[in-house]
Amino acid sequence: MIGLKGTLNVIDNSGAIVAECIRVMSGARFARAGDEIVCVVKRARPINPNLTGQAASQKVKKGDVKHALVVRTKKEMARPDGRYIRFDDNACILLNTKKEPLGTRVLGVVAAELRQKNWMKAVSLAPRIV
Amino acid sequence: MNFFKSLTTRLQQPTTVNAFQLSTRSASTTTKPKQNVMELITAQQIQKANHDGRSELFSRKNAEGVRPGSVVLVETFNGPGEKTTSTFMGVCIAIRRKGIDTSFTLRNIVMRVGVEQRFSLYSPLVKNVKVLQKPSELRIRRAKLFYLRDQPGKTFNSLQSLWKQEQLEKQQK
Repeated sequence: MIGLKGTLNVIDNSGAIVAECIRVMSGARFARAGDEIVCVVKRARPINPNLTGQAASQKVKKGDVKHALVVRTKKEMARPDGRYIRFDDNACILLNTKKEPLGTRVLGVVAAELRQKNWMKAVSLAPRIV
Repeated sequence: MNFFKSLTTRLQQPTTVNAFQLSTRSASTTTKPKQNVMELITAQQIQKANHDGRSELFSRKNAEGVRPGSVVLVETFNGPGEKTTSTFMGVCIAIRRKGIDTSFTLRNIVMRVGVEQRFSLYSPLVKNVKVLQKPSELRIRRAKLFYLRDQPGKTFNSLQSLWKQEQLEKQQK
């Protein structure tokens, strides 16, 4: 249940660490796993100055506004078979304008709701789906 | 027609009953013990849903059953008609006993993130519930182990080895 001002851990290698939600794209008040949000990067990994231009431009800086996909929520989610699942933190992966993951790797477990909502590229990058 | 006939016969019969007859009459009549309708319906539903003995696993008297703190493995079908299963293993941190709506929550640490899943015991999508390890008697003094979210201690350390053991047993079969 991610809404305005909700903080999420960013679990891809785009360079961001913490993001804050500023808008839920579906128009609802809160986003769940598998929903797209717009977020601001609150903390990012320092970009290595030795890094070449192209790789450096792909990394994200603090203050960048990006679209993101919520992959884990602390609020329990109902599965269609009556199960409930909840994680210990809120997490997201950043997306580019074409709704594809910005980073090249996803680090950590993601919810199976992504598959249900057809985020196939993100699912293929995920090391573990619960 | 029959009603009036029985009425007239009843009126013709002597209706005076003395005290002794009254007491013996009440003692001799066998009235069915009154049972709560909801309890009856719940028992019937559980009987229907309990086709593989899963309610015995959750009985309070069963020492080998699921209790808060025991390590449980649940296999669920992936969809209503599917035969493929997915498994989840974890420490049981809560059991909610509500007849047919009995549910239990399992907690595990997956890739350094805590994951909790709540399963309905009598769901047809739950294929199999198995206890892998009993809770250690000394440590568990609560019915709901929500404190494990903040102070896990060494509770989740043994789960990986239990999982591997389970995989080996499965391969051997």
